[in-house]
Amino acid sequence: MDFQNILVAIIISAALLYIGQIVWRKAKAFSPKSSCGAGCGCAGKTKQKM
Amino acid sequence: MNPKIINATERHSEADKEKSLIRNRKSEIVVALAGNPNAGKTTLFNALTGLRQKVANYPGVTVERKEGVWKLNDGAAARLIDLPGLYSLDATSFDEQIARDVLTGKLAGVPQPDAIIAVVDATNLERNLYLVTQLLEYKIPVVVALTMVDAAEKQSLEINTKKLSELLGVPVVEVTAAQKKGIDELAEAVQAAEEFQVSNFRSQADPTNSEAEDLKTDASEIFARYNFISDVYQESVKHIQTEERGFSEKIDRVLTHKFFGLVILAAILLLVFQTIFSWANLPMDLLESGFGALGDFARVSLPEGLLSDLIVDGVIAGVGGVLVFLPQILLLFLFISILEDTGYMARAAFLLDKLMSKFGLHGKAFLPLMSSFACAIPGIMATRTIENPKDRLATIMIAPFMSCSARLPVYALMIATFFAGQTVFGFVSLGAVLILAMYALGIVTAIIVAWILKRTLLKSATPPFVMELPPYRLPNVRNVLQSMFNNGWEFLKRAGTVILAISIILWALTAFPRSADGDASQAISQNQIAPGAQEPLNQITTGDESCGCSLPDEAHIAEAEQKAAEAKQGAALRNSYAGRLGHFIEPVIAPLGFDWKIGVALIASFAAREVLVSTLSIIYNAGKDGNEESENLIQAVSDAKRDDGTPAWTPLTAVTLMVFFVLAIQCMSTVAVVRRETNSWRWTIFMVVYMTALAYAAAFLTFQGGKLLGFG
Ligand SMILES: Nc1nc2c(ncn2[C@@H]2O[C@H](COP(=O)(O)OP(=O)(O)OP(=O)(O)O)[C@@H](O)[C@H]2O)c(=O)[nH]1
Ligand SMILES: [Mg+2]
Repeated sequence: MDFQNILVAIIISAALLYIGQIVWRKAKAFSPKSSCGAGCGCAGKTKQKM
Repeated sequence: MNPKIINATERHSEADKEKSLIRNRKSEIVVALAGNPNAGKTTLFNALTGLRQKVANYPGVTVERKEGVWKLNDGAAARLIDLPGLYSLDATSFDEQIARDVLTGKLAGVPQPDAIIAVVDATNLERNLYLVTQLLEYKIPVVVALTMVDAAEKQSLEINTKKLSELLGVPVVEVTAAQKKGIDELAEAVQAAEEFQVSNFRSQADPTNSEAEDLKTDASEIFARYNFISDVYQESVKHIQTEERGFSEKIDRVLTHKFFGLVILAAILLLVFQTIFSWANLPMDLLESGFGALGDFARVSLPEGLLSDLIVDGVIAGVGGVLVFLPQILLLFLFISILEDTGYMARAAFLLDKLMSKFGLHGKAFLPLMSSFACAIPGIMATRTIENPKDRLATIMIAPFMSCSARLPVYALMIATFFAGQTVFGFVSLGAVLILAMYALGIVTAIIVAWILKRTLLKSATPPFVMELPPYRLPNVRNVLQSMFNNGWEFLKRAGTVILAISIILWALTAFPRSADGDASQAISQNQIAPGAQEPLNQITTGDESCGCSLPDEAHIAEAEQKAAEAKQGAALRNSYAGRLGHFIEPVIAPLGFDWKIGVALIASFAAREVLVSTLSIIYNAGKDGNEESENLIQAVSDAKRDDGTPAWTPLTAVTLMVFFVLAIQCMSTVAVVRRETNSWRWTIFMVVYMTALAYAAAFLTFQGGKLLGFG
């Protein structure tokens, strides 16, 4: 493996990690407990009646 | 009118002052902005904090709490909270509950405000004062900020702020946020009011105070409030008769007319789309050749190999392919924010409401739906203004049918490739008509789905709804430009992050597995190469005598070599992971007229819609020889061939793809927000499934129907 191929492998892994991290974050936003993003104002006592 | 403060807080004792100064130093004060919808709270918030929250000329723009730091006069700072609009504290809808809970200190994580700035629209004083009288009953200092004084002056309303302040018992400050007038005075008044102890403050307030506490029934309490307000109004406002209102009513009669209103709406939209395309043409061409040159430069300066392939065919093709649509995006947001700020958007919503009320959709649904034309996410958040949970859910379920800005690059690519320069009636561009048709398709589908939902899963009575039409206003240049650049910046950020990463991954999927160290031809036997490429090869080997064509030798050989190389690349692409994936789903999408390359792009676009454009750019780039001069995406799409050599795209395929994009929910972020706002997995999954099924069915009907009619 020459230097170029190693670099390409690193870049691809970084992209995969980044996308994975976004999906993970989104999936966490799905969980009812942390259902409110920062500053969205729906944490605490105001619960949606749905 | 000069900004004035009437300080009602001068009588407090020295001891009080000390106490509060100590408190001040300990922690910064918390100030909340409260007021009726569309009173100008966010405009003031932006002016005080320097932030750039969304401002638009219709009620219900702000639906969540926003915070910023407000630098007060003597180096002190306040935590300023912008809130959704409220007509009264008897909150019914979710956004109003948020505001009420912040004001009453019931929201976890947010301290009860030390002071409230009651934002009061001077042109609607009577209505706005209702909330103020309620705010006065909390034991929190209130400062009234009087906005829209310029508009009130134009309507020849003369407001005696001094009198108003006396009657209400709180300081009243005139502010004009756009010109930063009255800002310092507001800061002074808030600081003074905050330092002043609450108990003193309340004792000399309004006459309803003592009465209201004795009142037993709600009705008489409300009655007392209105009495008080009407007294205050009569004493502090002088109204000189004018025709201003009559004029705007006359315009409204035409713009919200069932027939003419719709014609005008269609005409305005056509004009907008046509302008977007004609103005965007030149900058788009420039960007395109810029990215082409960048690719060529990278190709030349980087050593040949994987890295240069990744950068040229993956990053530059993928990200550049999307970025060339920046001009269209900027123009779209320019027009959206002009339509919003003039007050026309609210008329369009009102018009649709008038037409669609028979279908059972809640009237308050139309403003969230209108804002979904920029992006479904704020649109879905804006459904918080709808009180009835079933109505709100129905609106969330249909909001993604509104054609958002992320669809624009897809529409624009299809139109630029297949319908550029064509016109209807000689002057209306066919592209603009097609886009209008796509927007209309989304709206009509939304209405039908809402109608069905309201009759089945979400049965509930639709309450009558009175919509408040905001006044017409010249768009504020700063607001408009700010909204345009904010949204353009968001688009750039997406291109530089998510789309960049997806492009790299997609490139990897098209580039691997590599057969025999980059030389695809060894792994692939000659007869697998596309027939079109084999002919010239044979002709060369059999010699020129048998050819009988007039091409000079060298050109002939070069062409043949190029075709052979292209065929090699094509075979490698077919053999790649992306190729295998594409072939795997090809049977499913073949009835829609899509080949496997479009299939790969379609799958990728479920992450985000613009990714379709980057994927096509990457795939068509990978399918051709690297030494070939880079052509643009439009050219690549119109030249693209299926494996059997027939064109991959026809105008019918393009329209089918657009129809699919109108109806499919291809956006991770929207799915996440739907989950959050509905707090239900079942509804989220239901939405993804039904929208995808609907998109497939509609695309199927479009393609097969079009074929039957002889198109394509
Ligand atoms: N003429 C005039 N227009 C103003 C003034 N302040 C705000 N506006 C306009 O009023 C409209 C509404 O302003 P916003 O700041 O969005 O109102 P808001 O109170 O935050 O509204 P919601 O978030 O919907 O409750 C916008 O079109 C502003 O440009 C003012 O002092 N004078
Ligand atoms: Mg606002």
